[in-house]
Amino acid sequence: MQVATAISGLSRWWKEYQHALAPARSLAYVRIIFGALMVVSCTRFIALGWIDAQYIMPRWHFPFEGFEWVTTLGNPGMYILFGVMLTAAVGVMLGAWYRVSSIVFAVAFTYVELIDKTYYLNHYYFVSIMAFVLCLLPAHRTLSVDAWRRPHLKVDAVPRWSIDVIKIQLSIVYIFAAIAKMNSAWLFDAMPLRIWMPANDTLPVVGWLMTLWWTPWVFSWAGMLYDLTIPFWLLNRRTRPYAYVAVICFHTITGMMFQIGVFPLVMTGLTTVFFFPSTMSAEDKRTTWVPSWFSKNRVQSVASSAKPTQARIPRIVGYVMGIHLLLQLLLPWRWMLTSDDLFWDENGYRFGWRVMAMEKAGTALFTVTDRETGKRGYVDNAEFLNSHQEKQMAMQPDMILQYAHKLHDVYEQRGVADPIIQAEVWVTLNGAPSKLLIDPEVDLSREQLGWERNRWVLARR
Amino acid sequence: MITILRYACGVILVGFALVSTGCTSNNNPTQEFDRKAMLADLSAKLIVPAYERVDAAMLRLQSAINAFTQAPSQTLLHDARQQWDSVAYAWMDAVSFDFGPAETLYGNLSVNIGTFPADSVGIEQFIASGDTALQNFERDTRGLYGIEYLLFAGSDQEIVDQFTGAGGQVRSAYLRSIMRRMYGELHAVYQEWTQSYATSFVSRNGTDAGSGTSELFNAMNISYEMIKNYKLGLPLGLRAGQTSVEPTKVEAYYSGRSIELITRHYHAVMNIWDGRALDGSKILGFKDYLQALPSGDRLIDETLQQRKSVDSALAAVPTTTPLSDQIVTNPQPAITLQAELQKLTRFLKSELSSLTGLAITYASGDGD
Repeated sequence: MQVATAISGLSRWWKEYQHALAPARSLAYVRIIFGALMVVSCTRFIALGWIDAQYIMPRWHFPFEGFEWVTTLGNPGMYILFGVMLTAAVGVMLGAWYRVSSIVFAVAFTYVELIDKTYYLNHYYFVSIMAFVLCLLPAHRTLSVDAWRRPHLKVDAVPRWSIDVIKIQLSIVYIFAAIAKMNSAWLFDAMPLRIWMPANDTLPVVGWLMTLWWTPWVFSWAGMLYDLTIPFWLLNRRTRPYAYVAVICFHTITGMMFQIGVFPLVMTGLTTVFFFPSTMSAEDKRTTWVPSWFSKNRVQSVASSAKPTQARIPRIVGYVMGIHLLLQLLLPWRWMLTSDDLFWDENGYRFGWRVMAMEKAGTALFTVTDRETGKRGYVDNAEFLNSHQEKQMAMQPDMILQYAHKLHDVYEQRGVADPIIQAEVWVTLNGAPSKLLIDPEVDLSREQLGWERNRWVLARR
Repeated sequence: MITILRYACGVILVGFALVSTGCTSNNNPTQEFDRKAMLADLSAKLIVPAYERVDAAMLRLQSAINAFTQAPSQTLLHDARQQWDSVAYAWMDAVSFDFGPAETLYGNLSVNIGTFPADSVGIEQFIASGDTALQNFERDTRGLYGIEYLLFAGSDQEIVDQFTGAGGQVRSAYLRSIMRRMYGELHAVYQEWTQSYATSFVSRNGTDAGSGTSELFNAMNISYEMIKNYKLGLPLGLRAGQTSVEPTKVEAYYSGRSIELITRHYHAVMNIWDGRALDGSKILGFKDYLQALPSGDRLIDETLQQRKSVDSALAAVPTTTPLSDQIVTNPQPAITLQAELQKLTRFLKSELSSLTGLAITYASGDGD
């Protein structure tokens, strides 16, 4: 009986929710902030000379499986692509030719990220997601060049769920980042913070804290609890202002401690979405009704003279968002099917919001053996990879395998008969003594990357 | 419920407030390591003295070369060769500091003056055509090993004859020209260290990319790889795709000083790790840094353990026969040395950077 009541209550809520409205300006604020952050981010990337260092200078790249067709566009191609991306980001920010700008930005940004796994960062992944989400939403229907240029586009209201999708997405990032920290190394050994904190003892203001023995434990627990609970503090109207102060403190400190670029800015910027109204307020006189979660009357009637104009979103977009969020909830768990020891073999590690979760480094020596003569020689990785690529490759099995396959091909061209590629890869995780990551006897040129556990990856113990 | 939320929120906020404002409480420090002191020690007692010594040695070599080219004789040739030896040895102590002032617009110092093997054909072509202006980027036709070729490639009398008379004039000019260029390049770097760079190096005492410690760490490893890959691996034919040994590609082929130079180079790298001044006294180095870190002692033990194996492998390489001959007749000791050096790599590279939290690239990391 109670179940039936609950179900009928829920279905009533859902019916109302689907049609609930929020001020269009809320979504526009998100668009403006996101666009501005991307303008800063792109400009910074270009100004630091990273286009050349990351996408033009390297001889080889590590594409994502299934995206091998995504290649660097070289010089001047990459510069043009970044120019287009930057222009599109400005377009998103201003809401100018928004449909085109937002789609171009999302595609260009994601294309660049797909060129090389080396540069994969959770926050780039987050930017790609946000970019695609925003290009499906009517974020340009007010406070935009488009709405000014073509007044018929201007609306007062957008579906409420279009703003909630962004809040849910942000919450997913934080909560999964907390889950990634729920392991004994992080909570009870205070690793890797016990390594990272003393390295930051020269920071202004907080530097002295970094050398206290208990600081890593405090930061480990505080970091985990922050990530786990911050979405809820932000959702609650009463705690929201305090929570946002915590957001600023947290991201400022981590931004000072780690070389994490624009990420702190992106998070502090986008979490302001929690402050934007997601219901049509009573002050909004043109609003006919205000759905409310908390009031006894689910719908409050408000006297008004005219109905608010509202942006309609095709039903399909709603389904796409639903499926996207469902995937977001499932994807970080996929390692349970593919890995015994995720931090070690990283099979299912990416796209799971495992931010700053471990300190890992490797030294990889590859040998090339002529299958006919048996002549064996070792590879100087610096001949093919930049230092960043080598660093990332030397601890991630999928990149090691890709590299081995490329070595096979390049040495075959250089006259070695069907080269046998073997790798001696010593990896240290959270300060533990190095262990072999890859079976040094296996000919990697004959192995493929499987969805399941890869037999050429050795167990940690 | 709201009260609980408020209370919990308050606790978190107080925590962050403590962190961000830096309240005073009883400090219970772990073994704190003063990176600034390490950088000050290394620059004042190892790096700058090393450059100073090469600088002085090069000046003596320059005088010896001037004397020899003015009146070529076997005695003066021997003098010049002796001075070349002392420059080469002194250079091994400085070659690892290939950052900062050593990174010039026209390439790194180690490349500009330390490229080997010398291109004897190229040198002879420049001399034959009377081109002593060095207006090119062919660094294997000059530098330390270019001078070595001109001073050591042939019997004493042959070389004296090459430099004598009208025919020897261009050769003399070429030798003096590459000597001048080499000294100029080295001296500029040395001067920059003494004038400003040492101060800047010490002041950048963080662990981020661009910090003094990070610069030194990267340079140390690149230098170490040089020994392993180019001074041993390449001439021994151990590199992928090589089908035979290439004994002429050893460092200092004509003077036959390869093994002494490898030994010296290796010890110079270890001095950075150990914290040993140029005069042999103890200063702060990476070892002391590790001592102050969790698991640091473990890494020190493992590093020292493997260094023992390198030391015995090094001792087992005969010093009486030039490396280029050993590669042909008895390569095993050198091959073993190369393998033992390879095993040491991870302790100097990934494990050291991982424990110290040193950034080794400029790129952004994963956020939080």
